[in-house]
Formats: sequence, C-alpha cells, structure tokens
Amino acid sequence: MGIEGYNLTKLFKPIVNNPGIRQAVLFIVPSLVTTTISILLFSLLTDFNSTQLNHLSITIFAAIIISLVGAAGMQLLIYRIIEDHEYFTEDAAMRGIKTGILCTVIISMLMVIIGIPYFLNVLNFSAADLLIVIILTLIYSAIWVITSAFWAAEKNLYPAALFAIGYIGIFACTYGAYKINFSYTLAGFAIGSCFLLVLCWIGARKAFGKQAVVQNVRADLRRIRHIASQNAGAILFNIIYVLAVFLDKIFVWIVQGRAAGGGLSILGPYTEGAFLGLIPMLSIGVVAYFSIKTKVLVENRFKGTLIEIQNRIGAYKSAYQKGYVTMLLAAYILGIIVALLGYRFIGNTSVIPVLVTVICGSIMFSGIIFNSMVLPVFGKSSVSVAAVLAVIIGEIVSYPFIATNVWYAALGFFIGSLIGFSISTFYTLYLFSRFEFNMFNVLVKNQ
Amino acid sequence: MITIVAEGKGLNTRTCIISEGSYPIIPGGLSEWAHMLIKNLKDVEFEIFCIVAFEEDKPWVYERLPNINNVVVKPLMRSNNKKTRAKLPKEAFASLEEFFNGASEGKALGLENLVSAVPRGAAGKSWLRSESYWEFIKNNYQKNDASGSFLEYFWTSYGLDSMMLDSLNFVNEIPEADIYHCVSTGFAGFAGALAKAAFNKPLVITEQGLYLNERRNDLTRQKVSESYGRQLMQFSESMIRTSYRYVDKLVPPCLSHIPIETDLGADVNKIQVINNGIEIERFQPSARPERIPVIGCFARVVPIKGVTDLIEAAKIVIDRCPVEFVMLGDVQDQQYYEECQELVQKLGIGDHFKFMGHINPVEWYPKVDVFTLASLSEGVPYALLEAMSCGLPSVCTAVGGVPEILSGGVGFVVPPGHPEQLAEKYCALIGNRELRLEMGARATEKARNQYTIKKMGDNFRGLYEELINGH
Repeated sequence: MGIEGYNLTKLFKPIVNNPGIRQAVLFIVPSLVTTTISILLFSLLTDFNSTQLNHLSITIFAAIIISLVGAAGMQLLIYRIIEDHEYFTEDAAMRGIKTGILCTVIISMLMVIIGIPYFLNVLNFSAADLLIVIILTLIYSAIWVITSAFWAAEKNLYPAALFAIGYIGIFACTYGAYKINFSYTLAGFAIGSCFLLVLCWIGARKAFGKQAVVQNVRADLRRIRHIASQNAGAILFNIIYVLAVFLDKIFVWIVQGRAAGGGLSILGPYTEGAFLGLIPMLSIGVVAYFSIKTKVLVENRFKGTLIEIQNRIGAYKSAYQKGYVTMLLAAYILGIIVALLGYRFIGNTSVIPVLVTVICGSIMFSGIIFNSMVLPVFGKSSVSVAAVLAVIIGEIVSYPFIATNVWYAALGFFIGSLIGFSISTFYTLYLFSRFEFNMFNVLVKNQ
Repeated sequence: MITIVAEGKGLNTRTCIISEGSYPIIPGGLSEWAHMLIKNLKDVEFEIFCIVAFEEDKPWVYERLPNINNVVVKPLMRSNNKKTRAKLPKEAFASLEEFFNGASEGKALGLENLVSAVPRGAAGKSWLRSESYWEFIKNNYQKNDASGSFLEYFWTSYGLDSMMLDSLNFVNEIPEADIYHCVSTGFAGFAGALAKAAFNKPLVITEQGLYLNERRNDLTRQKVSESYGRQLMQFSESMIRTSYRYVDKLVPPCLSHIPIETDLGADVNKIQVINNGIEIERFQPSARPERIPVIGCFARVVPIKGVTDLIEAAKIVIDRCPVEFVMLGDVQDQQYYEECQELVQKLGIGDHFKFMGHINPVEWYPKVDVFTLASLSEGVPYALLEAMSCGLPSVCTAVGGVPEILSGGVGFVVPPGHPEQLAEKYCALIGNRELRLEMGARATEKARNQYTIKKMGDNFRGLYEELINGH
C-alpha cells in the first residue's frame, strides 16, 4: 500500500492510544539523550588536537563496538530466558543477567585479546590505553546485557530513566575530568560509565528482586548453550546486524588511517555524516509497539478453531501493515529533519552526500529489522540473516573504492541495505500471501 | 516356484507372516498362535515381517524355529531421513489426496494407483509439506470438525497420515513370498493389502481379536478428545475395510466374528472359520484335591483384560466365602498395574488376591480350580483352551469367541463390565465341587475334539494349498 493511500487518522489513532507507543517513546528518549550528550561532549573537548581526539574516539568506539558485538547474541538469549521461564524457572531475570554478563564478557574479552597486536602495533596504544579499552569493554558488555533484560521484561522506563541520568553522569565525570586536566578525560569517561553500570545494576535489583536461588554457574551455562543452539539463526542475525551498522565506518577509519600513516582515523566528514545518518533508525522504536500489539496474537496463533486462527492472522497482518508504514513514515520524517538540519548547520559540505546516502540506507535498514520480528513466525530467521548479510556485502564491495572517495562506503551501505530490504520485504510479503500454510508448515518442518 | 509335495501333507511353499506389535518380539496370545502355526507347519518356509511402533532393537522372545528364513522388523513411525524427505512425484499427489480422503472417511481404499505412483525405494513425505495437503486437511476439518481445535485436528490428521505414508514403504520392504498371511487387520492387514496390490499373491488374514474393538477399548481408557477418537476410529476402520477388500481368505477363529466382519465390508464367501488349536499333550487334566478354591486369571495385566472388574468381583466373593484369587501373567502396562494394586489395597483384599507376574502356565493349571477371564475384548483366548484341556471349569466374559467355546456346559459366560455377575458365577462354582469336576471333564473332552494344533495346522495347510492352486 502506498503512503498516499493510507488513512493517517486511522493509522495514528490506535497508536497514540496504545501502550506500544509509550514503549517506543521510552526507547527513543534514552537514544536521543545519549546521542545529544555525546555530540555535546565531543564538541566541548576543544583542548585536544586532532590526533588526541582521534585516540580518545578510537578508545571509546573500540570498547563500545566490541561490547556490542559481544552482547549481540546474548541480548537475544536474555529475551528468551525472561520470556520462556522454562530454562531458568526461578529468578529467571537475575540469573539470566549474571550468566549473560559472564558469557558476554568472555566473548568480548576474546575479541579484545585477538585485537591486542593491532592495538599495540598498529594503533600504538600504551598498556594504560589498553587497560582503559578492557575496562570500558567490560562495563559496556554488562550494560548491554542488563538493558536487554529490561526490554525483555517490558520494563522500559528503567533504561529510559537510567540512561538519561547515567549519561548526564558520564557527561559530568568526563567533562569534569577534562576540565581538571585534559589527559584525565578517558578516566573520567570510564568513571562515568561505571556510574551508569552501577545505576543499571541497582535498577535491575529493584526491577527483578533479589536472587533467591544459589546460582549454579555450570548448569546455567549449559542452559544458555541449549537456548543458543535453538536460536542460532536469530543470534547470527543480531551479530551481523551490529557488524553491519559499524562496518562501513570501520572501513573508512582504516582507509583514512592508512592515508594518514597511522592505524585508524576516526575524525572526518564520514564519521560525522554516517553517525547522524543513523538517526532515522530510531524509528525502529515502532518495533516495540508492533511486538506488544502482536504479542498475544503470536502466542495464541495456533489456538482455537480455524476461523479464530484466521481472524488472528488478519489482525496480525493489519498490525504489521500499520507498524511497517508507521516505521517507514517515522524514518522518512526523521531522515528529512536530519538532512535539513545537517544542510543548515554542518559547515563541511562533504558531509552532506554521506549524510543523505546513509539516511536512505538507514530507512531501508529499519525495514530489515522490522521484518526480522516477523520472519521467525515462519521459521525464516535465515532470511533476516541473508538480508543483513546483503548489507555487509554491500559494505565490503565498496571497500576498494573508499580510498578515492569515502562516500562510496555510504553508497555500499545504502545499496546493501536496499538489497537486504528488498529481500526481507518481498519474502515477508510472499509468506504473508500464504500465511496459514506457511505458519503450520513450520510446525511440520520442526517436528 | 511352488511345489505341492503331497496333497494335504507336505506343502513346499513360502509364506510371509505379517504381524503388528506381536510375533516374534512381543509375547501374547497372538504371538503364541503364530508360533504354534509355524511350529506345526514344518513343511512350509516362513518369512516374518513384523511391524513395530518405532525404530528400536527388540530381542526375540520366541524360539527361532528352523522353518523361519528371515525376520524383517520395520517401524511404523520413522524418523526424518533422506528417504522420508524424498520428493514424491507431483502426479502422486492426486492419488494421495483420494487415498487419504478415503482413510479419513473410514472407507476401503484402492491401493493400485498409489503403489504404482510411489517410487520404489522410498515413499517420501513431501506431500505432507505441500499446499495440496494443507488444503486437504483444511477442507476435511471444515467438513468434519469445524468447531474443534484446529491444531489438534491438524496434528491428529498429520500423525495418522504420516504413519500411513510411512507404511507405504512396506511395499518395498515386505519379503517375497507365495502367500501373505497377516495375523491381524490394522497395519498388518494394510501391509498385506499393499503386498497383494503390488505382487498379486494370495492374501490370508487371521483375525484373532477384533481390531476396531481393541482400538475402541484403548480410547475409552485414554483421555483423548472426541475429535481425536473419531479420527483414529475412522482411520482404523478404513484400514480394516481396505484389508477386507484385498483379502482372498479371511480366517476368524470363531463364528461370532463373522457378522462384525461382514458389517465392515468383508465378503462372506471369503470367510472361513478355523479354530485355534493347542498342544493337547502338554495340557493334561490333573487330580484336584479338596482345598480352599483357587480362581486363576491367566492374562496379561493390561486394561483390555478387565483386571479391575475381576478385582471388584473378587471383593464380593472374598466377603462371602473362603477363596483365593491369582492373576497369572506379565505386567505390560505398569500404570494400569499400579492402578490395580491400589484397588486391591483399597478394597482390603490383598491377602487373597495376588499378582504372580510371568508364570509357566503348565505348572499353574493344576494349582487352580476355576479358570477366569474378565476381558473386555478377546478373540479365541489360548489360555482358555489350555485350561479346558486341563479340565478346568471357566467363568469368562462373553467377548469374541468365548461364548462359542464355552457352549455345551463347559463354563459360564457373563457380559463384560459386570463384576457382580462374575462374582455370582464364581460363588456358584466355589460352593459346588461336583459341578466344577463335571464341567471340567466336559471341557477336556471339547478341547480334545475341537481345538488341537494338528487340526488347526491341517486346516491352514489345506487353505494355503487351495489358494496357491487357485491362483
């Protein structure tokens, strides 16, 4: 259905009245707070020269990207643990969080260990720098796991509040340390991040209660491994999805770094444009609305008579249509706002082509993520994986051209997202066209 | 190549016995019967095709007789493998739809088209994953059970259809033979019908118990939905009707089966009763001293044997006069056994009602004064024939061929499910030793005249001969 043909009054009425939109807002609030504070913080660090600022950025980005990749699969497992109580019958959330943190830390640390030669030899990190990377990776690994538990338990007010307060803390600590001596800035950032972690932990204890059962780590790890094997497709999707978001940037940083005779060069028009260009992806907050709206429908999808099942399918399709169009509309609107603001306020004109291209890619990417909520209903997580792989492939294909113009990295992201979006959307619509058959066929294939 | 060595005496032929969940790996009356038949027809070579529920190794429980060539054990439900994933040709879909439509309506099925459509080597289940099957199952649901749970209907249909598709593989697995002899209807009879459709060799079906009655009895005990029960019964009925359609000779062990079989579509001209036979020399009458009477039930501890009815009857009798009850047979359903034990304890008759487990019947017939069966369904129980041969009077439920066997004053029959009537007959025999001895003597005479293994063997030899010569 085209956007023009869509009845907007009909569309927005149920959304505004629905708790789903509140959940979506709760997703957007912390995202906006963290984005705003990060931009503000970096713009205030004027005492750094470009090399020092680059070094600071690499340290922070490295820790955040590594922890995000490390936690990508675990976030999904936390969802499964909290939703399906069967694996962790008592204290599901707290035991899941602890085991999840343990696993994520192990995975993230393995990545750091693999990267040590690169940090030391190529990026010329000192032992102290490396220690900061390790500390930040540990902190953020834990933070992502705890946050996913809040989301899974639909306690979205917690991350919204904790991230808003925590990022103010990070801002205060980092800027305070910077003001004392600019060389303390990273230490200030680490202390601020610690503060956020403590807040998250206290929040988790408050939200999920004290743990009543003594934890048997070995048994819990066995359970995690079992759930992981059952959700391999979705885990793979999460990991590739996180990689796809950062890969174009990493490629540009490598190419820029080589050109500058160093390891990684983060600063420049691409980083600015590429990160701002991701803002339309905030529209995936609609996923929260969609998942709440369809939760009961999905849980009960096989219950009752055939007519009841068909009615539920009708409602599900309608929710999908509304959610999908809403998300795309939100992404377009955010994209237009970001593009206009970028055009108005960013002095460097070379940022604009990157910004606009990444915005277009982000809109498509949001579609891939939205469809990844639907495809598992038909046992087709592999299609979601194929869609995000298309993004990765687009980024990889663009790599040889980045040296001539960094915009090609954005183009690779856009084309990959467009292909991935097409794959996931057409496949989803194809499955929708024979919904009942495909839904029951999953049962047959899995039995 | 078939050679009739000498008319009625030596028949050099190969017969494939098709059994379901019985001979030679699961003991019971049916297996006993098959074993005796093979043992007695020494001049016939046998192939055994045994259908079991799942793929598992089960040891033989019977002595391997020298005239048995090969034993092929095949599961009804098969795990996913290359073969079951093999794609059926699309042209086969129409035949399958027609076939399963018939099965869901309890009709006799035509197998020729299907046998030629299913590729040799594998009857894949691809159809069960096709849209054609989905539409088929939806239409059937709307026609038969539109107000029930669709998921349950789906799984039941899928399970039954999947089993039947698996069973089509039998056509590629059944050993070559001159005659196919099924020891029951159900899946054994269905496999026999497939063999007949594929190889056009004579098909004999012996129906000791009545498959549909047994399924009905199973269902009354299981807590299943009405929809599941209905589907299972129609599916079973369809298999029975199909086997009747293809059978050349239907052989019940008693006259009482005939009207039930003809009601299900059997051609009365193809029915020939052959009585079961026992080895008379093993079961000799013995002197019975005066003692507290012992009533013995020689049966496996399974629901169909009506053990709970027996216990309730025992309670009535024990309260009235001195008597001992013994249950003599394997426990094949642990849950049911526990249920029976609980009932015995609850009724406070533990001192007079004992479960003896697996026993040697030859040793036990002399220790018992009255033989009893409280079964809900039976064919022609071997234990009853053996007890008669040993000179025991009987009190049994009027099921299957039992009334026919106990006619002529050799025992009492009462309707199944009426413990008080069982108790009344026990009391009549307990209080009258003369009557017990008189009935016992008549029983011995009847067993020796009508139910010998030699007679049974000769009858089957003659039947095989007739079929081979007429084919």
